[in-house]
Amino acid sequence: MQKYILAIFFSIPLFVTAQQELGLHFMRPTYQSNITNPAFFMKQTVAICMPSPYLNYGNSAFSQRNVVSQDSIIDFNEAGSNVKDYNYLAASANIMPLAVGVRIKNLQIGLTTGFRAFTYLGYNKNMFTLLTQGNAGFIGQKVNIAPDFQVNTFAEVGLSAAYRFLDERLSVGVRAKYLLGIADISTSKANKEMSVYTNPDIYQLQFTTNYQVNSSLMGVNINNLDSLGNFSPQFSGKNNGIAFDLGAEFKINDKISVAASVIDLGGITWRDNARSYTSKGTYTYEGVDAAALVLQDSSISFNAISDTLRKVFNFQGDTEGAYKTPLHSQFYLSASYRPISILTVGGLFYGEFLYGKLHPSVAVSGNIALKKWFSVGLVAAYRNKHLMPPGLNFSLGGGPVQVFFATDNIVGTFMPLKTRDYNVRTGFNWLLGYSDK
Amino acid sequence: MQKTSLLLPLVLISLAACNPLDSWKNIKTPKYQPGVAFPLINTDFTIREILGKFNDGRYIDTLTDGTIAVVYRGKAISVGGKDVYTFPAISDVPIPINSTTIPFNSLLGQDFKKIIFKGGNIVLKVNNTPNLFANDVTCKVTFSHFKLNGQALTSSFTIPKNTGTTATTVTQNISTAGATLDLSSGDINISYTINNQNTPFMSGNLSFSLENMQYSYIEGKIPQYSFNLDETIIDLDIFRYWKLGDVYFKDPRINLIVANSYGVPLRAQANILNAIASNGVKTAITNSDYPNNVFNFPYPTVSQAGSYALDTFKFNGTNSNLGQIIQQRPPQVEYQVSADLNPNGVQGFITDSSKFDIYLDIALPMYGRAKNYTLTKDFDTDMSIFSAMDYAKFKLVTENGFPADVKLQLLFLDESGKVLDSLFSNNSVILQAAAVDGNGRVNQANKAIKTTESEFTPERFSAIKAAKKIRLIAGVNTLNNGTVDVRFYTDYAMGLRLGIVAGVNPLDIKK
Repeated sequence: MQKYILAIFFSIPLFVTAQQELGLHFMRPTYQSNITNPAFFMKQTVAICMPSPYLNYGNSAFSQRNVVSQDSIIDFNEAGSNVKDYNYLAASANIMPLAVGVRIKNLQIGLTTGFRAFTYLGYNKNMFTLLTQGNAGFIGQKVNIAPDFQVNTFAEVGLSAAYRFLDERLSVGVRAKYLLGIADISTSKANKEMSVYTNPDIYQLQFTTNYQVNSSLMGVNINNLDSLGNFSPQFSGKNNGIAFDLGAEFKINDKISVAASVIDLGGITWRDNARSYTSKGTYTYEGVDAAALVLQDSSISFNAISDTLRKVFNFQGDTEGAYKTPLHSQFYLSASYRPISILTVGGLFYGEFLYGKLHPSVAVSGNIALKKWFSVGLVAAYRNKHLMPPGLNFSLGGGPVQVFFATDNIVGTFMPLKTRDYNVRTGFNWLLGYSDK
Repeated sequence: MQKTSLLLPLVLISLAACNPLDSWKNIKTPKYQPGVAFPLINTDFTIREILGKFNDGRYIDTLTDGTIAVVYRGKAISVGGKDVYTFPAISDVPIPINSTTIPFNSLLGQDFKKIIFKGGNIVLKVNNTPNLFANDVTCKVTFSHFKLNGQALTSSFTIPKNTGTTATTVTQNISTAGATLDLSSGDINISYTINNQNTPFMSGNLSFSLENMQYSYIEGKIPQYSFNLDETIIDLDIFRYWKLGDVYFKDPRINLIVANSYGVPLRAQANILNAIASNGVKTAITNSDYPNNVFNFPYPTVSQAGSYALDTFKFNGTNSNLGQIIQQRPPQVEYQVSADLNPNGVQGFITDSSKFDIYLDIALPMYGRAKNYTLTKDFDTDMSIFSAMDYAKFKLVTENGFPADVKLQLLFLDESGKVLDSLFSNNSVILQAAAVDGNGRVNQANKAIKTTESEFTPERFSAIKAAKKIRLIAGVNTLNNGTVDVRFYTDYAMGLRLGIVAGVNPLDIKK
């Protein structure tokens, strides 16, 4: 069992994702760039987007290749040297079954739909060290190892509108999204202590917890993992919320433009089978009181420590009650320069808020429209204190059919073990009524 | 549809990462060995706890000066009074005339003064011969010495006329439950009337019997009786775990405590009173105050009936050879007592519940000295928690509140008792004696604290995982290398804490 836990820990980047889409922001020929800024206008009059999957994962500390050798052996020392004070494993998977955009002169309206799944594990260096090196290095210290985590899925339906002003130099846009929660399990931001103190005397252990896990999982009780099999996802309609995307773009002149947007402002209130599980208290394991055993001819067993650990991790106070989870908001601040008609270069400052922590990225991109029906772009990004491999994006076809592909890490497409961050989006659109404006 | 919607992203994710997922299954963990520190033993025990929990056959006493004493108790109980004297059945005693006096004590062959019955019957019997009475008659019989609630026992019954040719029998029962029989004269009187007339029966027509008579109290000259109590063995487990060395108890004592509720003298004799050495050799415990170990028990007076008379017969270093015997650390003492009830035939009483108890208390006040006095004790153990560990460093913190150096060692033994290793190198760890004040007492706030660490290499640690038993060895030297007598007071305590830092292989931990 422990082996599988470790394997999952070191492999989770392979099947989870985070949110950012840096290259897509500059893929203006595709309607999907509007996802990153609702003020972006498309060139066509009508865009009908067919199902478009999006996958993303991020490991802020290391890639699997960093810590797993060719012969598949985990190198904990190497992993530990890459772990920072706070780290995360994040993953998301979105699918946009259908999106429609219609531009009528200076007004653009749109409809988006989507299913989104999100997984996140935030952990500090102490937690990693404690798991891999034990508490012997923390004797005399109190260390808080409480992780953040969230797994949730929801559906969304969005309506957007954008309008251009000032002779089409300024455009502003907004997207309102109705969110329908399917399932969630997440830690509370307010109660985040899971600490252990190792007394230097004889290493007495004091566990202090003030930790809360919320869940909205039909048929599941967290204290009984077997009940996970009873999970029955469904749209009850009770889990819902609203979120907004806001954006603006200003064309300084024919060659230079700047844009700003905030995505996913809002959250979901979970009401369906919403429960809170709390572990709160102080549990001390001081060793076996051997006097009674020794003096009464009993056998000596040291297994009582497992009883203490069981108390620590036995979540009590299963209470019903709605709770709210915010979406993980993002912002894009970008500038574009078009030195010649077919080339656009851009710079982007991107930020994503995960569990209250900002994870910024900067990127530069170059997109070239070789033909009216074919453009290709490259993006280079610096994220999580490391330079990502280059990203590639292209769109093929200016209408009525358009196929596109975008990733911020082309290496990851072929060598996922070498990457810490990877995303990809692809799909095809029906486009009608091209305009140069 | 809804489930499909949920699963769709996950399926897509899996497809996108198909190849890495395959490699995920093949990930191997290296020699993953975090260092885990946790406590094993954390215990405090007072001298009272140490001495008080070995077995149920003893208790802890505190002497007037606060010195703690361990007292081993053996108990022997006599049979009850109902077994000492059984009231005999008396049959068909004739009542020839209207007022008849019967020499009752003579019938019993005793010299009783008073008997209280809790059961039984007086059975009157009429031999109703043909034509004894021309008509039915009423017969009223009175036993004036049997009284119930102050009234003489009386019974009226009908004797039918017998017109036949053969005799019939008429019987009448009178319950004696709760009745008191006054035998101060030794005789009882019985009177009767027929149809309220003092008409006598023909000789042999009226008689009485006493059946199933059970007494609760008898006063008078109680018959002699000999008790022979079972042999009792007392385990002195304080010596059972002795391994080597010397110990000297300055003031050992044996108290033979008797509690007697028989209302007559009891003379007891300890036929056996021996200390049994570990090699089986028995040494008689003698007492100059009680030659031949004969003890005359006290007894309650008639007015004290129902209570116990108590007395203690003391053995100590002055009147007995106990001091020398205890120095030999006998693990057992055996005794067997016989007793004679009312050996001189005096007046007194017994009840059906009379008995006497004999307690043999062997008291060892913790006052004396010990030199290299070493105890060992084995415990079964479960070392499974260590199965996933490769090396260990033990840390022992001791707080000694005793005025004695304690040498401590733990041995790890396999199933056959073979020593696999020891917890401490250099034989053992020595807990220095706590300092005593001017009154010879240890201030428990000033315990002698010592920290000892013991490191087990993977080779050593691997060996002790097979341990099935732990042998605790404790050696004691009182102050000045066992040359000074010290007292152990009830508040004396010792703390013992053991922690471990171990290299754990989490992947080897079994659920």
